[in-house]
Amino acid sequence: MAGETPIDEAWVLAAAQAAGLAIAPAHVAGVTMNLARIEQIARALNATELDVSDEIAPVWSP
Amino acid sequence: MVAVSNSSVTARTENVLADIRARDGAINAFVDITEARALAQARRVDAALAAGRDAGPLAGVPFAVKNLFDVKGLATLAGSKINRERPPAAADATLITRLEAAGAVLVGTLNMDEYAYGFSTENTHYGATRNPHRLGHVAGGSSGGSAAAVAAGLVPLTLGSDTNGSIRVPSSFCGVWGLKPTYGRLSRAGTFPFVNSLDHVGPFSQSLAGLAAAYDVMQGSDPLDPACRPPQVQFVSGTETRGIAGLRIARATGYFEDNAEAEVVARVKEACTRIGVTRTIEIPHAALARAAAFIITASESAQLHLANLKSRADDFEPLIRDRLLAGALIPASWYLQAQRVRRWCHRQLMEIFNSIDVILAPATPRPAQRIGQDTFTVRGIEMLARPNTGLLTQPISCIGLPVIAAPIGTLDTFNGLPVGMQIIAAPWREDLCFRVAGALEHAGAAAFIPLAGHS
Repeated sequence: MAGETPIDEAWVLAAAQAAGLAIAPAHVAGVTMNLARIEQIARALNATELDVSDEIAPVWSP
Repeated sequence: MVAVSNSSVTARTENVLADIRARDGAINAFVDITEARALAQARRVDAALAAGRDAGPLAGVPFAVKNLFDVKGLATLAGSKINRERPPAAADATLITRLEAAGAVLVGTLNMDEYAYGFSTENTHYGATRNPHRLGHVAGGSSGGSAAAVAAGLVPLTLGSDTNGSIRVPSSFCGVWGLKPTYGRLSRAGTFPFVNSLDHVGPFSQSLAGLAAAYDVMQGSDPLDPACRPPQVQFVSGTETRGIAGLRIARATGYFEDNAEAEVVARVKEACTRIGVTRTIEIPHAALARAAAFIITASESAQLHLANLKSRADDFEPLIRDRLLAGALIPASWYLQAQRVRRWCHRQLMEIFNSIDVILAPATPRPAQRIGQDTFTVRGIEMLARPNTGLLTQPISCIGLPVIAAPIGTLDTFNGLPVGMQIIAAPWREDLCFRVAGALEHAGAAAFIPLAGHS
């Protein structure tokens, strides 16, 4: 994840191009800020040690 | 909730419609008023009553729905501009059909955050819904119109949806009862999705008994919603008077105290004291569950709207457009890890229910903020208001637990605005939520909060 590659505008533009998403210049800063926030949140999840049995369910069944 | 007036259902419906037209301009809860349909249903109910037939447990009760529910003949807007181009719905959502079969009368559709992505119902296309208690404050969201319409007394019953807190947040902000059932309990068929693996639907009501009555008639499996697989129908009407003898109830500490203002926590403690709850418990990994919900929401919602994000991003609500675009760039590994952590959190939390039946926690970090307010403080920490209003609701809906949002009073230090409490139980145990809610109501610790001057 971001460890090596910080989320910045260049990262966002490259990812958007790969995804076929045209981001208007006026929105690049806002998208970058939002994705950086998401990345911060994802860090905590990726630091969680899980077992192989901790798998997602095709249909959630509480 | 069932009306007992001697006047006809048709006459009462006409009065409700006139009241909405007269008063909703200040609140902006309604988007559409379904007058012809409402009067036709009212006449059917009157005819049934005149013929001596059972008109249903909700005979003549007016209700309205968040405008992500399909209403036959109307485009399902989901708070968006883009959806105006959709053809009118060919059929009603399952829950509307069930409520009307019970005699209820649909009078309109209600405002919301665009595509349910928000906690404030500040909608650029349709205007902000105002909190009936303080018109300069938000109603909460994303089912803000649903809560505001009930709080203002325009209708006694509404439907909303809750993905990350969208029933519980506006219930808390507007001082009304709300129910987010277990994931998969109520059918979402005929509703516009937000995050399929997190979406729930449920009712708002002025009264706890009304909440139970509406919930009861909406229950039942539905092949049109693959997630709707309740183990059985479990009627709850009357359970709110059973008391709480034998129930193991605890107040949530840790994360749920740290992320709520002191006055809110004090009000929750006071409510607990009123019903004799002294036990406390720390819900494990609540912050991780919230983080998982955040990532899943961002990724699934962006994927849902990807085609429009590619072709017409400027037609989205400005308050969510950048969040959706960012969600479209989330690597698959983050999303999958979020789903795995969700499973892990579920397993951890289920262990709590071996020793506890019901958990009580604040519903929102603080009462409603002002319309247009971008940040607020919680325990002295300034944070963005819109993404953080669901701090206390997201960990619970992430794993699909049933919750009643109970109105537990107003706070003088926050302009006299209401605040709510979550009553949380194990999956499929909505009945326990109703028992505790009933005890709180009986003890005077929870009740619908009338507008000032209308008590």
